[in-house]
Amino acid sequence: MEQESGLTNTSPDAKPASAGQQAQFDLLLGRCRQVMGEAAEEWIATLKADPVQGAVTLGTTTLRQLVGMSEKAGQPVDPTVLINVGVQLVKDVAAVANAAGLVQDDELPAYLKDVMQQSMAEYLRADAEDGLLSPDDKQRAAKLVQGAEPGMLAQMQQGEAP
Amino acid sequence: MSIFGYLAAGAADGLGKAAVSAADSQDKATLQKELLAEKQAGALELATQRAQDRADRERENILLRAELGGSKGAGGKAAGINLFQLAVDTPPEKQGALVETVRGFAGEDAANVLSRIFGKTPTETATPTTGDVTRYDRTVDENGQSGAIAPASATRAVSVDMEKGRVGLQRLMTLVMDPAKYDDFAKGEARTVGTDAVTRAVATGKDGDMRQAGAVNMALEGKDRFAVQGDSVVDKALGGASLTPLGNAKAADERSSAEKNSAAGKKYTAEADDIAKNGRGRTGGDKPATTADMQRQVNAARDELAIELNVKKDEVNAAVGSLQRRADAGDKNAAKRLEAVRPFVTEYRGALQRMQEFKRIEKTDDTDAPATSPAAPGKATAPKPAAALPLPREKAALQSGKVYQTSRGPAKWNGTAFEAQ
Repeated sequence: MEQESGLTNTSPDAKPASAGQQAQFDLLLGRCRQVMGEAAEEWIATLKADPVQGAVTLGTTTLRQLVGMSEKAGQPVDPTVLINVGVQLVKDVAAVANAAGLVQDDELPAYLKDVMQQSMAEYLRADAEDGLLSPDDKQRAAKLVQGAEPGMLAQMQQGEAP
Repeated sequence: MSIFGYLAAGAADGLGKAAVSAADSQDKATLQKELLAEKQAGALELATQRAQDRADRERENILLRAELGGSKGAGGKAAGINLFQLAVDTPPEKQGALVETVRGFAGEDAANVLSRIFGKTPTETATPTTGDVTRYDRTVDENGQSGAIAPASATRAVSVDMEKGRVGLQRLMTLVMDPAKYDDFAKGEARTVGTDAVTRAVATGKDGDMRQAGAVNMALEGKDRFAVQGDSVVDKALGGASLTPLGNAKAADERSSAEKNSAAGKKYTAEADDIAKNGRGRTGGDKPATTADMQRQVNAARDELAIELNVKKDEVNAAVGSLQRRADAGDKNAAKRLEAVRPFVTEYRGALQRMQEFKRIEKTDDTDAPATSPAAPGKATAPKPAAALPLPREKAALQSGKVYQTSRGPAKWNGTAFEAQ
């Protein structure tokens, strides 16, 4: 799924996105970034307090809010698109934290992994709390959190933040 | 407080918890996994309970419908649930709520039937499949096939959101990397808004749109749209001007003065025309002097003298002559009487003299040559001296001490009367 900062999925098994998926990706990512930009000062203050927890809390909440709004508008978000948007958002936040001096260059890989893992865990926790998680997803969710599945985590480590 | 303020507060609370937990990220992940497992177990139990409750409601509704029947009845029995009647009686703004109510009480099939009655696209809850991380609804078409609603295609709205998102990220980076340039970034964004306004205005070609775009740009640049120039307030963006309150007052004063000057001008113009027409000055008053005016003065003076002498108007000269002779002869009473009426006599004689002089001036205006009245029968005219000046057109032009050529011959003007030479 190509976008200006490069591929979010650098896995050799990655499939090209359809036009609809790309459009939805651009739309969702663009709106997430708009929200981040409008609340720039809050983002900076939260990241300074705790770079990891701040990124997880604000990023997950922002994305879940926009996904929920999209669903209410009759346009549910493709799960693949959601994952890739999340990956790109984590990269964006890591870039901001790195530029702010909150995360050093040699700390970036660990930071990316931590934020991605905790973001997914937080997202799944919120879904489970809202009763949106089916029993079939529990196992997959655990695998995702553990990072045992070569998925976006591997992509994340390969495609580091700019 | 914005949502992000609350979130920041929540993150701060989490900091306290995190501070007592292991600092190692692996420990954090372990704690997260344990928490997730616990939460999922609770969520599973909750979902199971909800499904059980829903199944119970379904059974109850079926029993309820069976018990109540499907038609309105009498004799104490309550009416059953009649979907068609509900559809007819429900106003459009409440149809959506009714569909959901029916879905809860009568199930998906009844809700979909009601949706079709209302002309709405029925929906059904799809069972989450492997890979779904979020629950979402799917549409059901006429053939009963379900499918995910197609997301928005790459339209203009998508590209706009992309661009705005890029700008948002740039704003965040600017604030991080160079807070001092944050204002410059904001100015750049403002410049973009202003340029877009002008671009749209150029596209429409309407003069009003261009003016509005100008107003927008002036506001973004922090320029004053209105300027005071003298007594006027000028709108530099939309054009036009209006007077300040002081300007209005001045304009009112000027209008009033102009009206007065106009009236005075008309009056003076009429007077100037009159003077130019008649060619002489005035003896007083607004009207130029005429022979009739002089005669009236003579008559008025004569009448007053007649009253004092107690004689008739045409006996005034004789009465005055008689008094003069008797006073010269030593008659004291006549002298005293003459002294009493002397002011009236002086006024009468003065009016006579003025009329005679006026007549002489008029006669001089009519002819260019010095006036020479024909000699009276039996009278011999004395030879006229060559140094005598011609009479001027106006009495005011007479110079005291000068000799003028009068109808009686050369006479010296003493400032009051002519003296024969």
